[in-house]
Amino acid sequence: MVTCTMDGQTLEVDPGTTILTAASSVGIKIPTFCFHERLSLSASCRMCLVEVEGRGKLEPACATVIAPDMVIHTQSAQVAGTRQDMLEILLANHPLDCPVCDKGGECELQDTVFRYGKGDSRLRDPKRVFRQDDIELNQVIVFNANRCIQCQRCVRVCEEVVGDVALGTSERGLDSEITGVGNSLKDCSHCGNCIEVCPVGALMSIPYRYKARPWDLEKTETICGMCGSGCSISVEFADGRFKRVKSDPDTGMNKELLCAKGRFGFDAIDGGKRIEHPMIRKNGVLKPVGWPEAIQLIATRACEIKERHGRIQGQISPRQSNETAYKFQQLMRRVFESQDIHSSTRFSGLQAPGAVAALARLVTGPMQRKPLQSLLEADCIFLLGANVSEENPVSGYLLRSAMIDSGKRLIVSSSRPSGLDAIASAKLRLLPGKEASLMSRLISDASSLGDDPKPTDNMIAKARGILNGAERITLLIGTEFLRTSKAAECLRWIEKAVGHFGAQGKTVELQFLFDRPNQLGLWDMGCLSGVAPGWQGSLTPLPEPEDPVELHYILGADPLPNEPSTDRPAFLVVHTSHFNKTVERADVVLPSASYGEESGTYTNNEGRVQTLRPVRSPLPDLLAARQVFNLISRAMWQGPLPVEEGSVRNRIKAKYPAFGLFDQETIQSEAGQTCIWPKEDSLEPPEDDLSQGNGAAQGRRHLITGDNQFQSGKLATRSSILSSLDKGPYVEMNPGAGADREYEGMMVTLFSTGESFTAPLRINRNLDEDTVFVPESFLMEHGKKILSCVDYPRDVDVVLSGFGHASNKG
Amino acid sequence: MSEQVLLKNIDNPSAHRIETYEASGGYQGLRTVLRNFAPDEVIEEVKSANLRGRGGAGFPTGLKWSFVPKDSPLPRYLCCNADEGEPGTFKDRILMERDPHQLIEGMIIAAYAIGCRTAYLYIRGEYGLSIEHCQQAIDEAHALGYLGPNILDSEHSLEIHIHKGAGAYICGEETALLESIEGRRGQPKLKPPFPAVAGLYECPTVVNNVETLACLPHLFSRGGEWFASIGPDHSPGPKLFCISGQVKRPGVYELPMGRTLGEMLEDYGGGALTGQFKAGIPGGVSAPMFPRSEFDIKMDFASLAEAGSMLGSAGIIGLDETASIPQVARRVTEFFNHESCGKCTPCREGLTWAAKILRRIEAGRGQRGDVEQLEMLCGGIFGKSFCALGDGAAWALGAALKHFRHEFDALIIPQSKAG
Amino acid sequence: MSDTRSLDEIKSDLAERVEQIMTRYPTARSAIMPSLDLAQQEYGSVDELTYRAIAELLDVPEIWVFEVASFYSLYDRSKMGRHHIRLCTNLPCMLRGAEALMQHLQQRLEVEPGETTSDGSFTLSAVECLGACEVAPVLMAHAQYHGDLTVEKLDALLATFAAQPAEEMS
Ligand SMILES: Cc1cc2nc3c(=O)[nH]c(=O)nc-3n(C[C@H](O)[C@H](O)[C@H](O)COP(=O)(O)O)c2cc1C
Ligand code: SF4
Ligand code: FES
Repeated sequence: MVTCTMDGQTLEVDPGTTILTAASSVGIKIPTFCFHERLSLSASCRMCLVEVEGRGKLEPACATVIAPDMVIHTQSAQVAGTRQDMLEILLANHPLDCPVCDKGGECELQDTVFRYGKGDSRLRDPKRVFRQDDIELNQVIVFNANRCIQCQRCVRVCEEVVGDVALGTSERGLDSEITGVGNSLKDCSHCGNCIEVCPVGALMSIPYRYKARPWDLEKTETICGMCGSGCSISVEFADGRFKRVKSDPDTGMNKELLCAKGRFGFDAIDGGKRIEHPMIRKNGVLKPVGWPEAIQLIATRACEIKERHGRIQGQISPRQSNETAYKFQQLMRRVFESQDIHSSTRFSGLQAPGAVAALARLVTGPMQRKPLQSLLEADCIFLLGANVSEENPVSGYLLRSAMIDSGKRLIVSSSRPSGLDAIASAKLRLLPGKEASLMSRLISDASSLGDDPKPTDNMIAKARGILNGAERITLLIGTEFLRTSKAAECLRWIEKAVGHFGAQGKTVELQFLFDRPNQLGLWDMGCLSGVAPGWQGSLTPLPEPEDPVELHYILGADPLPNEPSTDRPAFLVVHTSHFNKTVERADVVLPSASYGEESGTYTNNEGRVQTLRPVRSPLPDLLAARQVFNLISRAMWQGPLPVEEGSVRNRIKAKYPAFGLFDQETIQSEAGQTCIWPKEDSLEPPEDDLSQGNGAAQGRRHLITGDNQFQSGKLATRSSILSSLDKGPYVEMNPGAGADREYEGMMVTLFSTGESFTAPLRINRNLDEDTVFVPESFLMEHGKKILSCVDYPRDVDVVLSGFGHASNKG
Repeated sequence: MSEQVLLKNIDNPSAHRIETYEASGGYQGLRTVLRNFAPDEVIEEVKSANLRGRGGAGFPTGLKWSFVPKDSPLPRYLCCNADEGEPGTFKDRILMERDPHQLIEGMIIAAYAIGCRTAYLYIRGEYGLSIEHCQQAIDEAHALGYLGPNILDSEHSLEIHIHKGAGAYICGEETALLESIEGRRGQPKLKPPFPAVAGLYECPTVVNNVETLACLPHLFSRGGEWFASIGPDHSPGPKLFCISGQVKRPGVYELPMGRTLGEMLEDYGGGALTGQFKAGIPGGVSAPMFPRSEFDIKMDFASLAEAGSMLGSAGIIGLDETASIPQVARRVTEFFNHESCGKCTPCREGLTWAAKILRRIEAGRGQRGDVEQLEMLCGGIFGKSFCALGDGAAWALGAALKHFRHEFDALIIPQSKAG
Repeated sequence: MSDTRSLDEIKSDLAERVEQIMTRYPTARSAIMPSLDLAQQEYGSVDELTYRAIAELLDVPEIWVFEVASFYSLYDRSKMGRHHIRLCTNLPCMLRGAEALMQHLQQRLEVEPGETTSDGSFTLSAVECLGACEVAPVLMAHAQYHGDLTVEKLDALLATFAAQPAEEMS
């Protein structure tokens, strides 16, 4: 510990503590502009200068480490005078357009001048006017050069956290201006974190521009509904209309960081066509009916099917809350007496024998329910089968920030390239499903390289070296392999690898990276075939896979374009908020509230159970989903199911005592105790060939899919902002030999079992040549079944057509 | 005139060729070092000779080298600062154009002392001939085994690469220079860590001025004691002074430190162009000026620092009675404003403001309160800017205001309103 | 002046020499300045296409190249006249008459500092200290210094320049 005196107060601080940190720990406020907790030090704004006795000059508090016996004055006359001077100098060129500036009322410069400034400026000369007009850097970010105070936070957040390097600075001195240029701006992920860190109104959000004054906004703290990172967001309304999403610097795992989906996708709540009344198919047409009629019809069909032990299947969207999910599985298990519950048709690999048990062992074993930030302290981070930059961008930002620590190593194995590849010490392009092979090779003893090592062998050797040298390993695993038939194998080999490294005395911790906000919560709640709430094994027998489904109850999801058509279609109940493809085929349609209209909880990837708050009330006459389940149950003479949130949560707690516990030693053991998932020992090493990228054989490639940075299933497609950023369908691939120019402007058609999909080519030289990527929403939008879940990744024939721009103009 | 060491061969038109250099005793210092000195001993010798940096700050060179960690597994770098941009300074150019092997030999010795195998010579882009001659000198030295692997059959190996500047005065600031070599905008970096610990590519790095390095061959061929015996104890060794401005004989002069400013301007500079001197700037435009009444100030590190100015780059500028101080102040402030890197608030914004006021005053549109405003700006910049560029700008302007306030006042509109 | 060349042409023009430059540094980013210098020598000035070509050759973000090109004043980001006259106007030169010389040049060439004559033959710039104050006032043209300037000397110099195409000057 180091002792110092600050404003007469004696402080003990850890070695390495800066004056600024020490001051804020004892409530002494020092004004800053360029400083930002997340970013590298700049110490350039000079706002935080303080007096240190014995030093000739004032020192920047943000960058000055406290030395033993330092005597610091943060409020002396000299310091106060310096602050006044600094602000006066800053204001010399700062436009005083606060009344029309979006930032007015929440501007750090305004607030700082109010608190520390002199009030007036003596400048009698004209102010600099950089530019008359604002510059739209892209569709969502606009820049007002005149207001910029050159704190460089935006440039730093873009490079250090987001990893885009889209922004930079042109010119020098007073002409310095934040800017982006052609290709670099193209790399912009439109996350808007630059807007968020801008202390003044220089960088602004286009969708929010001139929409509201901050003091008129009503804020609701809730959780983003896009992906499993589960960022805290503050949704702001004025006059009953949605205005913008921000994030509190002190809350949640994200602490102010958001991605494009989170920051700009919330307008989704106003998108799409709402279902307003229950409907029943009559003579082939959906007709509005009253609630009792619809519920009675479902109850009658369900009773009848149940009577003859017919198969009833339930399917729930991972955007439903824990409370609704719990009730849904109760409806399925207790009322319909069915174990046949699914939460993501995409994860068809979980239907293979043993897959669920393998999953349960991982979730109740090495999976950690604690902050990602603490997992990122490991000296080796292994990103397995995850496209974190696109599917969980904010987790990706945190990961990148953590990698600033030069002692840390990152291993990346993914089907798609990402910005993190560049900072990885070992990197492998791997087809989903081959994770099992990779893990088995990583832990096998045969460590010698052959005479002619392939790139894969080199990567494996490198990764093995890193893993063996690490003391603490964090495994972050994506869900893409759950789409493949090898899901069970992958899960088992991951578990085995964890055991292997654990046996060497290493700490190995694991978290999933889910692409949907409440996937983990749904599983915790028992929305999984054969798993009761709290990961208890369920004794009720599972249906035979061949048995036809007779009643299909779909809550929130829109799976049908993805489903092979059955000869005898099941009685289809669709309970959801918006019209979609599945609704078109339903026998009964029940309207529901949409994301943002109900309270409840989501469990994010970290295992944090977070509160969802409604930002507006649901449509009138709408029955809450839990109320509907209750009515169905009663109509089937099964007694009431509780509806009220608090009592539901009590039921959950009773079944699953660890529910809601987070980052506590006890939960791990408690969760473990309650579950008994048998271990299967003998694991045969898989024999996959890991090497890829050796060219596509005769135009055949593996089609992979998933979210891109503007997509997250159906929800994102309802956001008009995200849809416009997404710019329509494309096929991403590495066309192979030849200059990019020869391919630009071409169309790609994918063929598979009688289906085809055509879209413009997007060149990505970092993809392997034998894979092709199409964002999932585009495939779904076109109702293509070529993505059939059964064999993922799907082999497709690829045909390029049209002429590339072979022009010589670059 | 005292003995010419650094400028010994300056009038020989072939002094830049290695044959000439060797014939006049060149590369003997290096031979002595490689034969007789361990790297640590080189540092000790430089310390005891009390060589102080010629780039501006006068920091003891041996001490600077000794900060380079001995046990670091990282490569070490030596960077020669040949960005010479301080107005009134041209000594490094003359050394590089006319006798570049002194510098190359000095770099080899310095690199040996700190265990460096790759050195960069950062020459400002305008210095075409310096670049040409230094490159030629590097090539010649290579051919004769003074550079490359195992120099003169020793364990010492070195490559020197020239990095060409591109018109940014701030890159003379050592951390900005390193940023520039790294391919970034030339903005100073936060210290600590100091370059000796984490400099170029985050590796231990020493930055030295051309003249500092050019002293080394002589220091070693003739011994530290000889070196220390030249000039005053605290500021020893041969020193180059550039004299320019309103003087009759502008040029570079080699003299021990410790002569007075008046002597330099009158005896070497040949006196004022017109009438008498009004003021003199001792060390480039960053160094506060002295009015004629204070011309007895001694030209060495300590005396100048004590008098509230600095030896700086030893670029002496004479201002005679035709000079208008408000105009001088305006032009110098415009220079700093133009060269401000833009990183820190006081320098970026404050100098622009100051330049605006000074232009107005010079044009006869000064208003009451303008001088006070300038003083406030100097106070807001000096000691508060990120690097010494802002300091220098404010310091120099402050001295002009202090000594020649009447010239500013004379340009203020009498009935104007105070701000 | 790369406006007549395509990106690919610029890249293949420069590739080998850029490669060579990269060997001098441990990071590709360090090669940005020398590569810009190379391109400027080759084409007379640098522009968006040059930044992009260099960024691609070095595999660095394009903004890094642009940042550097715009920070340093010796990179010409627009087409310059055939003869670029950089007259030092800093203090030592000013004290010896640089401002009058600048006036003279402005009148003779009918341009303001920073501008190019309409026939494209001269660009006039006022520059900071060239580090040749012993021959103040001084100017730089075609990478060469011309010092101890007087109005007569300037006129003679302009005449020589006007008579000769730029290529023969450097
Ligand atoms: C704005 C600024 C400009 C500078 N310009 C130069 C320069 O052109 N040449 C130089 O050698 N040192 C210059 N310096 C000083 C360097 O930062 C550094 O102190 C010097 O190169 C160290 O070398 P030395 O120890 O041999 O003197 C400058 C410093 C500042 C703050
Ligand atoms: S004082 Fe500040 S703005 Fe000026 S050059 Fe130094 S760091 Fe840059
Ligand atoms: S916050 Fe410390 S200098 Fe900006």
